[in-house]
Amino acid sequence: MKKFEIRYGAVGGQGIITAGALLVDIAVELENKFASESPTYTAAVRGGPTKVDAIISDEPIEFPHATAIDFFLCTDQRPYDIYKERLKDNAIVVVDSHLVRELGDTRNWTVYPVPIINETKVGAGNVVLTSVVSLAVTQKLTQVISYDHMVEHIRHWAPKGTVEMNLKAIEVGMNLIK
Amino acid sequence: MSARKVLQGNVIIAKAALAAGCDFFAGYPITPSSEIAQYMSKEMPKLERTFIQMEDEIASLGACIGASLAGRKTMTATSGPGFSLMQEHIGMAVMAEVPVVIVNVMRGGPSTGMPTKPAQADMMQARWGTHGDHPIIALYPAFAEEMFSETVRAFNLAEKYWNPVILLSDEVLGKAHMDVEIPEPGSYEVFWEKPRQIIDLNIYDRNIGENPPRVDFFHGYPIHIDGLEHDAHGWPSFDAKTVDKMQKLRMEKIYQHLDDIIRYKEYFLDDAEVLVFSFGISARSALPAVKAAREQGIKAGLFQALTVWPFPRAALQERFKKTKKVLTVEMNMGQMKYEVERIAPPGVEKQTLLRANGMSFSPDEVLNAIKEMVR
Amino acid sequence: MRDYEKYIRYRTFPTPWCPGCGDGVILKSIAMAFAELNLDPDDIVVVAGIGCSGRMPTYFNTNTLHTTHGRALTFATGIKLAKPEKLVVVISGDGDATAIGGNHLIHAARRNIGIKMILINNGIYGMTGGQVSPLTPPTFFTETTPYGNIEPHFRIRLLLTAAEASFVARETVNRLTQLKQVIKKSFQHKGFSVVEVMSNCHVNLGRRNKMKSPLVMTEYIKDITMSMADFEKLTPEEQESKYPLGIFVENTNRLEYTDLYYNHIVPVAQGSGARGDK
Repeated sequence: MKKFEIRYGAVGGQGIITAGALLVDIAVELENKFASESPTYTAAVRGGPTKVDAIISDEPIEFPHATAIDFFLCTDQRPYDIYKERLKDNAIVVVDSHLVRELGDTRNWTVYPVPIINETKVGAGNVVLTSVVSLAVTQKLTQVISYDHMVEHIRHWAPKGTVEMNLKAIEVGMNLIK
Repeated sequence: MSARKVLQGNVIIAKAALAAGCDFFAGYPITPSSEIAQYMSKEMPKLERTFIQMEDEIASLGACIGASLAGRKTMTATSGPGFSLMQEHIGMAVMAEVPVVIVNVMRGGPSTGMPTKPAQADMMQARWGTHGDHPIIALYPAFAEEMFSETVRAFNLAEKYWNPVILLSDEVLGKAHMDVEIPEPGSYEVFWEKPRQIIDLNIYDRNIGENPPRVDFFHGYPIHIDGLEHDAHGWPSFDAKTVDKMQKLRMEKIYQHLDDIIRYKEYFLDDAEVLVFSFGISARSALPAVKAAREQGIKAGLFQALTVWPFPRAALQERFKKTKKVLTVEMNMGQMKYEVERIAPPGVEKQTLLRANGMSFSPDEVLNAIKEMVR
Repeated sequence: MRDYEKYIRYRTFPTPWCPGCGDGVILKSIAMAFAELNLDPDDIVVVAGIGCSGRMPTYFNTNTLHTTHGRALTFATGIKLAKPEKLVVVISGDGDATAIGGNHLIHAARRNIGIKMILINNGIYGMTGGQVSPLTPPTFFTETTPYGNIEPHFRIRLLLTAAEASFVARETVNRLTQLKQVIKKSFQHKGFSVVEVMSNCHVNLGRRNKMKSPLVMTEYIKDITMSMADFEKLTPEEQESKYPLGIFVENTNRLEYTDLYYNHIVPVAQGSGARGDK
């Protein structure tokens, strides 16, 4: 893997900005890779469509923005419509099967419609854990970070008293993709 | 485990400022620079250093100059509209010869413009924004490590030359989270001239070209600092001969030390047919483009200015002895291209890639522009 | 040499002020207050903005800073935060302090930062040649109100009280002893203080309003100023053109800003650890 570009799309509050931050932290701190991450901010994070682009690479990153996206995870129709630009023809696309209904032209993408939000609420118990569920989905489908590093980092990162919840969220994410 | 961490560009600048000994920050919130102030508000009091949020950007720079005269290492951070407001006090800092670092995280303008979109449209404002003839130093890092090192250097140059230093950044660099290795203290130079005991009132007295010594209040002999043109004592004077000398003192302390002040990076320029001139985020679009061009057999190279003011004239002129095509890449409607045009000798083909619509250049766009020039 | 003279920088004389200007009286009363407090000149910094008042620091043999129009308080804020133990005095005219610098004035008051402001109110822009200021009384003629001033003037006492200033006083150039006393008292106050000094600009305000000489103008100041007790006896209509004197606000309970920052915020921050520092 030379360079891998990941985009998360959502509406504000769904936790994908945290997912992006976790992903690059694991890649850089535990796997000694190079990474860059650019989240949307200000008004957009309060209910509007939001995205975060993360680049993970074996080499130092020159241009810090995504240009050809390998993996796109999106949990709402509006951000899906706006942010499906710049995806590679053979991109992996994960959408929330309840909240993203109109996929449009899916080119040569491999699309996984899965009930991310619903399973997070039911399986992990709190919608804020969408971040960790999305991270686990990403890990399973791309191997851009290792499973062990993901678990190690989440154990360390999770606020006191929430480690079990977060590990449960990883499990939910891993099981979403059969 | 890695020594590198992912940090937001604005935070890298704030950390570097602390590492450089910045112990006074005054600022006013403005997108996309606010994280610098936020970081300072959290970290400064832990170190018994000072943070204050002022009532506007004019006040912020005023407070920095005041604190600087009272012996602090000071910084403020802003973006376009706030930078416009600061121009008045940039002039004051130049005139009174006060060290201060001013960060401008550039966003789309004019006016309120596009607060969340990048631009490189304050290049000329950084040079000429305040009224009157004046010297200025402006640095513009592009890569994460440079954001650290150039911030430290901005403080060093401000202290050394007793002049405001403008540290340019842009919305992309400020807001992006990048992996970076923060160097260990001691591995980089931190310049700090101890305030000298003042024994007479000739505080500005020196030979033309000499670095001024740092002079602060409260060091033995009460001194006068003035925004009016003044004599060597700092006392107001409009005497033509005196003014002439003071103007030269202020200008030449910078222009006789260009070797110390000017820094740039050169990539693949030794045999380059096309020189791409760029800085900041656009240099990060240009570097992969130049590499891609090389892969396609096109001899392209990149001249990345780290010091944008004073303009790295001599180094570019040296390159134009061999390279006869130059492409200036900048996120504005054409600003630094005029500097390139005025120093490029006749016979050098000058092209530009310009845009000010809030979208940074993709490396492919720069590559295409390079290809146009060698077709 | 008298006690206060060690605070005067005679080398920079003459001053640019017109004969009979109240600024000289104010310069002297400030120097006398320094002397009575027996301060080391190097422990004082006098900061000013632009205008006739802006030139005053030049003549103090203390650390002095002549800044930009209206912004003296911002520089003073930086100095006070950097060196809280020093006496930081700001001298400002009415145009400087209440027009271009009005925002800085209310915020310095709100913060209660321990800067000592002397606000010289001569009701006019003097150095630029006699234009209307926010403290020019209504109906007065100036270079830019040739048909009479149609704007009301700020009542500094009420404005600053509303802005939570912890020390607000007013005196006149006619009463040197009282003026020196009030200035001295303001220097001893911990928080932000403003002493408004009613002064005469017979050259630019007086000349256009039938008060050409310094004497006539100081008589006019005497007529419009009075004790608070006398002021309160007036009807609201009568009060509009009069100015009470004395110390109006002296709140010693409010903590001063640098005290709050260094003695309250710093310990809290140091006790909080490095939470959230990525």
